[in-house]
Amino acid sequence: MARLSRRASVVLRGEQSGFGGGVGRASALRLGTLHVLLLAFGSLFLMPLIWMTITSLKPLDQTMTSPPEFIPRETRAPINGEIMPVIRDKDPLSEDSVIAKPLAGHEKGNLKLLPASAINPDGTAQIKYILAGREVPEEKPVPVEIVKRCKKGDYRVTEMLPQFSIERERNRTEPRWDVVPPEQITREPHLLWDNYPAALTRMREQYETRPWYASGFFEFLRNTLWICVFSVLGAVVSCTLVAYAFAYLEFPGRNVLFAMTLMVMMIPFPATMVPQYYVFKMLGWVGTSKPLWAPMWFGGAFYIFLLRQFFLGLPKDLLDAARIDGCSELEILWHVVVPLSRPALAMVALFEFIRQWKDFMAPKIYLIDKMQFTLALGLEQLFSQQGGTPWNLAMAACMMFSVPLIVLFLFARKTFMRGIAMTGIKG
Amino acid sequence: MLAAPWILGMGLFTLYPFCASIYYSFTDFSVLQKPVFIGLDNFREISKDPNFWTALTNTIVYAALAIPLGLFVSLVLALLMNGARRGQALYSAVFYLPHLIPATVSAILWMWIFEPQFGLINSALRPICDALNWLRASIDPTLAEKMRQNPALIWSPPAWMGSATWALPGLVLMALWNVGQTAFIYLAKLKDVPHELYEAAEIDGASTWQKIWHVTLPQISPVIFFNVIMGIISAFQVFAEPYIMTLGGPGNATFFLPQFIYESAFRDMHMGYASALAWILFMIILALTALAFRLSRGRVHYAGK
Repeated sequence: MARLSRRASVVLRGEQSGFGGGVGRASALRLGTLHVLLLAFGSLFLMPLIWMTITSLKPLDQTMTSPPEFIPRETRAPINGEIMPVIRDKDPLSEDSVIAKPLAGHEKGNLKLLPASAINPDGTAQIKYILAGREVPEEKPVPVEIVKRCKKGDYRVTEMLPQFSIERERNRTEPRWDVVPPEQITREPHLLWDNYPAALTRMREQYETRPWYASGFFEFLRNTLWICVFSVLGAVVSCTLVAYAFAYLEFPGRNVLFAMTLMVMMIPFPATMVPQYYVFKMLGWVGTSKPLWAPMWFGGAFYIFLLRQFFLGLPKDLLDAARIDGCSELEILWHVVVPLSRPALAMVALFEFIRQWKDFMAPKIYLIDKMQFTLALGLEQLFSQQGGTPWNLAMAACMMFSVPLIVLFLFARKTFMRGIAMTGIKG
Repeated sequence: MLAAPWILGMGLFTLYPFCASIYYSFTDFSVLQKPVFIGLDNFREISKDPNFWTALTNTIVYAALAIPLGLFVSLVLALLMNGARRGQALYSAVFYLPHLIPATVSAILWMWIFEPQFGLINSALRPICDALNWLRASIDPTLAEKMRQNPALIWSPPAWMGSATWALPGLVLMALWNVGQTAFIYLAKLKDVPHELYEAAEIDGASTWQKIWHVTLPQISPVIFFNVIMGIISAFQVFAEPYIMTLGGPGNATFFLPQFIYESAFRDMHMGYASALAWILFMIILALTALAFRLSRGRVHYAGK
């Protein structure tokens, strides 16, 4: 009896909850467990994104650590007395060594790191130099001046220069280096923003002469934006018209056509890929970006469907009133329906923009000239370049590609969520 | 009538290619020449092509793993979010974020995460494997000696994208990462379930599990059904990720039908063959959808029935 009355009071209180609620402490425990689970899952989901961000801010040698480190750090050490960011050699010196300056021969004046045993008692040493891409020894030992003595266990450190400096590549200045004991090497948390310009540079051609805003990443960005904007415009304009027709106008074959629209949604892209390609080839559009956005000007099945559902939900009286006033259909559309449908149109615009931004298959098929690539293609190409791409730069490039979408999402979250809900509820 | 031109356009770019591909599948066709009708030859060739059977098997295995798991995970997430009254906006946003990541980025990012030596996953698995190996050796001392002689007996984290057995599960894992949108759709629909039903169930003494099974699931079954169909359609169209990450490898392990179609059409220039393949793909999707429709008869409850 007592149990039943407690339950009844819960019902009377009208508690809202997904599981019908519970009572008192049991409910708090359940709530706590749910939140813990959700937080766990949430971190799992976010972890790849966080990892992407962290990796994009690390120097290369820190990406290859096992176990992985979560705070990007910079290695600093004194080179010739001046403390600066450095890249440390992986392994320490295996024996006592010296930094020596040859006083004669091909490498005269260039500092060399030699094992201490390589220095002969008469102050000479066997020096190797580069001839035709190979290291060859000098004919005979040359006198050297000993600049610094190093112990076994010390590390060789090399100055870490900004990676994107084209001037440096042109001048080919050698980075300075030194050998220091491990105590003098520090690692401090530091975000290597330099990775981003470096990634941008890698996306450009080797001997690029155009200014930075007209090549590489920015070129891809421009292309992508163009395509997205045209695509969105086309989608909004055409789908509104078609959806309006399906929703309000009576014409023969309306239902059949609408059913076909629905069926079209189910067709996988590969099925229409080949004939579509042929059509575009006949039109001469292959190699341009037109196949990517032009079809949107003729309507996209999904958006037509959504907009029609939305229009059907609008109050008919307004439309009838406008009709009585003598407006033509187009005028009704423009003056009555469109202002009321702003959220739905915003949703279509948003979804289409994001879909085009992310699209990979269509650009891959139709864009041939590198100058017309979208970001998706540019990124793929960066990654599969010869020699591979260092992970930190690859992550930086990935970030630049995806962050705009995330920012867009955060700003337009409500529109997003409403849109997604609409796709499901009417399904 | 005013919409007529637009509808014609849709017909041109979508319906015509669709019908044309039927025709093309019966032809020998490379874009450089006109199509030559060769009847069912394409299909005969397909049935003998080992690449096709590999691609088909892989795609089906992938779909068989990804669709149910995706369904399960997104439902679980939605139920969790629905039960935790506050913070739903935050959680759903967090779960949705991976969906926004372009496929290219996703591919590269997960290649990095799956990296056998320095990747995130294996770095987490390695200590677990070490612990497990130690446990096995302690339980069975002879095993320790065998492990020393034959390193293959030692459990170690998989090579993911470099391993023929683990590449496909890796892709499935990636697909699970993307369930945020589905979860959100469920969440939206969960809110529509009338509370009176839950309260009635509770008065009848139902446990949480029973409430889910008998009240929640039937109420949202239309959405489950919708998402299953969507899942089928998208699982069979996976192209970007396997293409970028492994190009179908290692050794055909992640060779899926869409990639096969793409390569036949644009690399080998066998457009007719590719059209035939695409049609088979479409038929499979259609068949599975029809199956879903059939199975849903007794189980999907639409509101008002």
